[in-house]
Parts: sequence; structure tokens; C-alpha cells
Amino acid sequence: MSSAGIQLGRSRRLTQGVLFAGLVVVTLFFLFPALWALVTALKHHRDVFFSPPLFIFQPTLDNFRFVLSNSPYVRFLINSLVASTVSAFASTAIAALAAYAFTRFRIRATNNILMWILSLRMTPPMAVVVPFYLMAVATGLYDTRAGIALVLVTVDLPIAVWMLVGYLEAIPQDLDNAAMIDGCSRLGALVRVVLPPAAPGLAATLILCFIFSWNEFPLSVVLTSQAATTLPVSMMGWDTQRGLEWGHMMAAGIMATAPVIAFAILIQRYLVRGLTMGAIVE
Amino acid sequence: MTSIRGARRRWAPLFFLLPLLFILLVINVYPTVFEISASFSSITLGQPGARFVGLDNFRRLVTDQRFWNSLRVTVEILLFAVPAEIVAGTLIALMLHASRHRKIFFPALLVPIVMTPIVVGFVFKYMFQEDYGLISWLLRLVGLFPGFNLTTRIHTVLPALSFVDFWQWTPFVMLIVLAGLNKIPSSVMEAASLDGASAWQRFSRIVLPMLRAEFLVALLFRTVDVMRIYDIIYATTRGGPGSFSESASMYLQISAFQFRDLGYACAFAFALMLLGVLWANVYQRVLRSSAAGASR
Repeated sequence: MSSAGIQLGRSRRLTQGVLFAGLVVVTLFFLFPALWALVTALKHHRDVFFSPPLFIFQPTLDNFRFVLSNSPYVRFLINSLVASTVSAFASTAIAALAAYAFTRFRIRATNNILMWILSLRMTPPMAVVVPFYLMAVATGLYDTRAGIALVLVTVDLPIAVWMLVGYLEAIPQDLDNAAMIDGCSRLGALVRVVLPPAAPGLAATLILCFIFSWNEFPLSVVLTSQAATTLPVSMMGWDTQRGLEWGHMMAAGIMATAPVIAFAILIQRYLVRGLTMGAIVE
Repeated sequence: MTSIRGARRRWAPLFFLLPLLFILLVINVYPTVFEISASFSSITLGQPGARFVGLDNFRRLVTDQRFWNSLRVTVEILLFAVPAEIVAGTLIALMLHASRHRKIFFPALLVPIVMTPIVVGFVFKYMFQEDYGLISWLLRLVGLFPGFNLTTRIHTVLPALSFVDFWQWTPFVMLIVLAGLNKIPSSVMEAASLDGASAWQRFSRIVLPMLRAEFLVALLFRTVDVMRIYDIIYATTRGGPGSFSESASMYLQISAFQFRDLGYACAFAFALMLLGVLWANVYQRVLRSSAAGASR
């Protein structure tokens, strides 16, 4: 009896060992391109073009230094930061008000409006690029941070609305009813009673919106040219100046993508909900 | 007094919805109305005036070889990448679910999903390079292909782009399936194994049917996102060789800003918008059927 127990324990340990080894291989596969970008960013120019590819080399921070000093990288960084932050906060605020209305009032059009917002997520961003471009030129918002922030709201809003409807639905209505009996206005009830227990979901929504805006490329590339160029759009610069500067490009790419990777790991529990518009809840 | 209260009560929802409706007006209603009217006109970028041409733009669209090619690119990537993503994503989710160390691996597997797509494209462009690219070198090493740049030949460019898509989005499928696995009560699995069900039977008879909604959601989002594919192709091939790997979004941009044919581009965009509405409806059906499944 006891020997059978030991046997079982041993085979279970073996299974766990095999699983662990398998997962190491899988993880390496999915981490590898990011790691290879980092390795390339740390190489001297001559080593980048070496065939066969070099795995052992003299590392250097020259590429990072070059990107930070010899290019308008810092301006692009600030453009991305400002546009993504503004659009993430604006989308979350607008979505929180709307989600409150959808979950607290009986609005006949609720389902239709939610579907309408969902169709924005399902449509390729390029489908609205022509009117956006003409509107941006006509209003003077072309190639400005404000214009890009507004455009990024298109990307963020569907995610924010669908995530927050899910979170606010879960907050019991008795809470805000009680607050209103105590003399709170509706807006006061939303801010003081409904949002605090939803704070983790609210923060996750905000961060997810930031990630999506930060990574946005097709609309930003059409609607900026110089002044408001965002980091992803600026990546193209390394493709044309004096051929391909892989080392500089990879250093710029690593710095452009590191913040959103860190954010994603921070909100890992909420990621699946946001990426599927609330269809899948962890 | 009471009438003021009644009015406030009636208008309160509108107050909360007003910002949303206003922004939808700016970013969706006006652009859509503009696009529908422009799609019946001949408009050249940079020149004033529009001429009504009826269904001309749509007629040109359905006879445009390059338009159909851009759809073929989408469908081919869909067929190459998405089934593989679903199978591999499910396998990895099962491995993570069974492992006691899943907390170590999980965060690392999120990296591809959120890595800036244009950066992903350039990293792979580097790895696809003929002489010093890592992928070409590996292929030379195992004797598969003479080690040329896979993205420069028409026979290999779409599989190569599908591979990039596979790399970036398999973890997304994993994430969805894992969430589904976590929802299956362990008592169900224990009862099944007490009744003598083998591991395969438990998987095919219990796990797979219970994950139906998850698979549909994964399939839907992957389909929608392949339909809009742009960043990765833009970085790696710019639609080349020729326009062989040009996606719908790329050709739309070219017809608007290179050919300056705004009316045509708007007809193109209108077709893509209709697809978006269609997918939103499919999504709602899926949600409804999965809700029915959950209550059952």
C-alpha cells in the first residue's frame, strides 16, 4: 500500500519534471525574438552582420547611447507618452460614465449601443483613415499630439466600455442606492461608492488602454509626419537612413516595447478579459 | 418640484451617456456618413470637388485584381496560422494547467501578445535576412531550403508571415483556453477518473466540449485581427515581392494616399466596415450561446 503511494509520488514527480522541461522549451521559443532583439542591441556594428550569427561577443551600450543622443528619440517618446496617457484617461473616464448608465438605468438602446461600440473593435482601423485624415487636415489636428490622442480614443474606447460594463455590473446597486438616500448625487455615488470597489478593474482598464494606444501603428503612421510622430512610427526611420542600422533599430525597439511588456505583466490577471472584450473572464 | 425631479430622472441617463455619444459622433458617425457619400463619388486627394459616379467605385472594386489579391493574402494567412495557433495554444494551456510551476512561465508567455507589433515585424525582418539572419542560418543548418530570405520569394513569403503571426498570437489562444480550463471544476475530472475514464477520454469527452465557447471566442478574435493585419507585413516585406503579400489595409492606404483615389478608397473601406458589423453580430451570437451553455 505504502509502496504504491511512493510509486505514485515518483511518477507524479516525473510528470512534473517532463512538463517543466517542455514548458522551458516552449517559453524559450516565445521569448526568443525579444531576447534576440536585446542581444542585437548590445552588439557592435560589425558583429550584427556576422554570418553565422554570433552568440558570444563583446557587449556594448553604444546603440542605446546613440539612439538616446543622436536622434529625436526623446521627442518621439514624449509624443507617445502624452498621446497614450491622454487617450487612456479620456477613454476610461468616458467609458466609466457610460458603463454606469448602462448598468444603472433602463435604457432601451443599451444593447444596440454596445454592439455599435463593439463593431468599432471589429473593423480594421484603416477603414476610417480617409475621413480621419481629411478631418485632421481641416481642423489643424494633423500631426499634433492632440489629434493623435483623439484618434487613439477610437482604439481604446471599445475596450474600456466593454471592460467597465463587466466590472460595474458586479458592484451591487444597493450600494449606490444607499448613498443616494444619504444625500449623494448620482455622480457622487458613482465616484464615492461604485468606483472604489471597482478600482482594480478600473486600473487594469486604464493600463490596457495605454498598452493599446502605445502599440498603435496604422492610424498614427498616416496621421503624423514629423512633430507628433509616435515611437512605433519612428521605428521606420531606422529602415531608410544609410541602409539598415539593425543595432540602433533593435535598441530603439527594445526601449519602445519594454514599458508595455512591464505593464502587461503587472495586469496579467486582467489581460484575458480586456483582450476578449469581456467574453472570457479569469 | 415633482416635475423638476421627474425631468432630472429622465435626463440623468443622457448626462452620463453624452460624452460617449459625442465622441462616437466625431469618430464614427461623421466618418461613416462621409465615407458612404464619398464612395459614390470621384474624389482626388489634394484637388477640390467631387463628382457623382454612382456605383462606379464598387464596380471597379469587384473587378480589381489587386483588391482580390489583398483578400487572398488575408485568407491564406488565416488558413496557415490560425489552426496552428489554436492547436498549439491549447496544448500549451494544458501543459501550464497541469504544471505546478505555471506562475514562472505564464508572465514570459505574455511577451509576444503585447510586444509592439511594428517592433516584432522588424525583429523578424532581421532574423529573415539572407546572410546573417538567424532563421535563414537555422534553415541552412538543417538543410531546409538553401537558406534564402523566406520573405523575398512568392512561394514562401505568406508561410513566413504566418509564422510571425503564429509566434505572436499563439499565447493569446493559450490565455483564453487556460481561463476556460481554470473554470472546469476539479470534481468533474475526479468523478470521471473514478468512473474509469482515461486521460484522453477525459480530454475529448469533457474538456473539449466544455471549452466550446473559448474556442469560438479565440477563433473570432483571430479572424478579425488577421483581417486587419498591417504592421508585421509593413515592417517585413512592405507588401512585396511586388504586391504579392499586400494586405487589405495596405492596399486601402495605397489607393488613398499613393493613387489619391479617395472615392475608391472609401468604397473599399465601406466594404471592410460591413465586415466589422458582421463580426460584431457573430460575437453576440457566440456570447449568447455560451451563456446558454453556462446556465445549462
